[in-house]
Amino acid sequence: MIINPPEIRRKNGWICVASKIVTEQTEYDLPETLWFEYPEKYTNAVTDRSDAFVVGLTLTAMKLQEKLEVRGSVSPRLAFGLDEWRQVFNRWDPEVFSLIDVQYERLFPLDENRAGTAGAASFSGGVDSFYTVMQRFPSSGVLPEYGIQYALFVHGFDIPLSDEENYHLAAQGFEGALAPLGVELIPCRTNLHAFSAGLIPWGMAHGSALISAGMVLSGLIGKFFIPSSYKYNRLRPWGSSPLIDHLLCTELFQVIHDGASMGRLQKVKAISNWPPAQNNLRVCTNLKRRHGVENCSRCEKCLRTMTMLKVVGRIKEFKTFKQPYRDVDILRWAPVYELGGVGVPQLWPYAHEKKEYTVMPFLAVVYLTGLVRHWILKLIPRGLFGWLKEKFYPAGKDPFATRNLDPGDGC
Amino acid sequence: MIVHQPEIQVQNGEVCVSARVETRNRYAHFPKILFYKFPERYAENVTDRADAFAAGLLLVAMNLGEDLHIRGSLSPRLFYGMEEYRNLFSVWWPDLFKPVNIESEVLEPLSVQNVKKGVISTFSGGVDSLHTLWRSLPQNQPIPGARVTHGLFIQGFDIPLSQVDKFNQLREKFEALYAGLGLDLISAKTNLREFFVGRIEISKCQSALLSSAALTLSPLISRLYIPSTGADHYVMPHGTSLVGDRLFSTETLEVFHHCATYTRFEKYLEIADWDIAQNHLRVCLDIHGNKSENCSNCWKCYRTMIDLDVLGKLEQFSVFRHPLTVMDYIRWGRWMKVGYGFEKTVLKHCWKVRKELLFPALMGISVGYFRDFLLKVLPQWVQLPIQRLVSPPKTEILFVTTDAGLSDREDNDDH
Repeated sequence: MIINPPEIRRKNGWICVASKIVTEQTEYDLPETLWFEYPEKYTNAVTDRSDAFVVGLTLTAMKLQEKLEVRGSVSPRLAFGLDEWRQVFNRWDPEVFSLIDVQYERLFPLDENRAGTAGAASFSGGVDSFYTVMQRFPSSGVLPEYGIQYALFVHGFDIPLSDEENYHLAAQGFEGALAPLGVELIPCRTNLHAFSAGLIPWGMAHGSALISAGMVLSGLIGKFFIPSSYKYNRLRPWGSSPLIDHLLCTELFQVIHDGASMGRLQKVKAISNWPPAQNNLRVCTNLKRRHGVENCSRCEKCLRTMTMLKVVGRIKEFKTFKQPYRDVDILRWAPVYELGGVGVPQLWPYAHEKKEYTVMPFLAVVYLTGLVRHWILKLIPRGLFGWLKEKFYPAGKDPFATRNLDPGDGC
Repeated sequence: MIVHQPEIQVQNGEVCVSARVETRNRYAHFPKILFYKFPERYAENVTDRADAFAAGLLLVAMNLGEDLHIRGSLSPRLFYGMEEYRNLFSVWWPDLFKPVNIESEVLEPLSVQNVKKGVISTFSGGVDSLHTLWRSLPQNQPIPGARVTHGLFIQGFDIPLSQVDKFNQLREKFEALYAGLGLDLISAKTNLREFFVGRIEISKCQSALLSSAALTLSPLISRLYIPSTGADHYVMPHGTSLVGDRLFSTETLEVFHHCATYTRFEKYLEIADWDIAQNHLRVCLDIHGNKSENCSNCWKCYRTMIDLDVLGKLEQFSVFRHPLTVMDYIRWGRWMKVGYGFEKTVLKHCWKVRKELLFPALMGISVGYFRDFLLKVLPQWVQLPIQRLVSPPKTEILFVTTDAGLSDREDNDDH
């Protein structure tokens, strides 16, 4: 795989940084260009370095078992960290992530006078995102060097590029919630997800994707916060983790995995009294049923979050979920409950401590149903499981796949 | 716990950076002063900032449940990192480490203009140290800024301050090694481990100890490599890890947990043919002896010898006794640590490459598993005498040196 030197262009009020990508493989339908777009006012913030592109595409090259040739400037610190980063992924899943050679044309750090120093966080409107913003907005009392002034909301990661309405509605809501806190929302569009769709699970690819979208703005951002997904004592192979995120720093762009000392329930509790989160929390993974910041209130993630808010006693204040959510509604979680995820084992002791006895029988039913479902799923042979997945959810149907991108998008 | 403003003194050919440590309560084996000493030629390369002292004592304060108050200058990045380190350790070991408050009177970074671009790696002569050194030499590290320029060999880490001869013998040997490679070995002395004795085991405070010694040299170095201690530790709670070590970084000194994904066996595979490793490998835990050579008799020597024997490289390592017999494999089993997968790697390699060693390896592993089984099922009162027989001797107390180095100054401070 060859990453050509990125180019910067202006297009319809947007500034676009794009690099032509050449691959040897023919099996997968990958875009010919990787691009990132930001509103034109961030023209001075973007760089034409290859740092962000190598971060975003290394996993794809590893999956394709292609040597990576990077043209353009790359930070020596990043090149060093990427070496260890590749080895960690290879250790986690050697069948998917092969150890590949990476060849750099020019190892050179970004000029200090050109580098930004602002703090920014990746932001999707979920529990982790709101928790990080709540801890770090300028007047939150945080150490000024570790505060955030910007939140980066990327179109193309969990909202397909074709779904403009949903993205704009959500962005509008977030902008309104964050502006009074002194945090500016930076919209971003990218086709990076298409380079992993059907190739690598998004759970493994999303961390480097977020970092690459932030790294393009190295002229503005000096510290980039990635809200944590898992607590320190539950670390597992995952695309964004305190084990690996820091390896993708450059000399002047620090990546900080934030909030891993708190579990999901603790974060939900922390944000449950905070109006910006109450009015805009967006956790839904159902692409068809969610609308802007409105959640479907049916998918696993919605039901999990709603149940947590219910147990915490704050569900009524959260306007982005369908109301009312009664104790008996917890049973809706049962058919989709994921064993091993964040859920009943955390909620049960908390409910017991808070004497929320009315929800406990329902939690027990949810857990037991999940257990049975898990056993049944385990009985299905892996081959059959793969076949069923390919039949009912083929890679081509992936809304993030190349064939579903608008050829006129990007630059 | 209050860590006072550090001071720098040059005496007896050494530069000493020390700070008074004050606690709310009185504790046994608790020095009043924490010090780091380096040869006098590094006098211009040490700093009187509080970074090293704060990093070194954080876990002690957490263990004692005392808030940590820092009087000297502290890096804002380190301050953030220490808060995160505190959170990490109180999640991993909540009974051992309490989430105490950290306060600093002066938060300011070291000026970048005052920092040289040295890259230092902690060095003890073990397989991890040698592997990191090997990987960081120009022939193996293509990025010039990532190549090691210095080594840091610390007395008070695994060699007690009282074992002066042993340390000096090793220092001379390792200095020659580094000089031969065109690099500089810095020897250091610290009493930091004494603060941990009886409170926190060394496997949990390795990174704090190593990072803090390097932080004292902040004007000289911009990067510190802490060699990883095994591939398991990058995901498991451990005193040195991919998730924790980096948190001791400052604006000018970045700390890396080096080669986290390598197993010990893989490290041996890479350095087994390197003549420097063959002549300098030091893994011995025979801490009571005052010799600098490996004893070839403790559990760590046995573990290393077996790995090298299975790889067919033991004969080339002049630092160990060879050849090994079946009895040696059985002695290896006597102290084997079951559950880390080391023995499985040995068995797998024997099966694939050295079938003639399958029998002794199986003998050793059987003994190890039997011991492990006994320790799990037997009642405590039966276990204790067995443990006394088959466990390595405790060495912690050797690091208690109440009059080490600064007794005069301690007396002065008391007045």
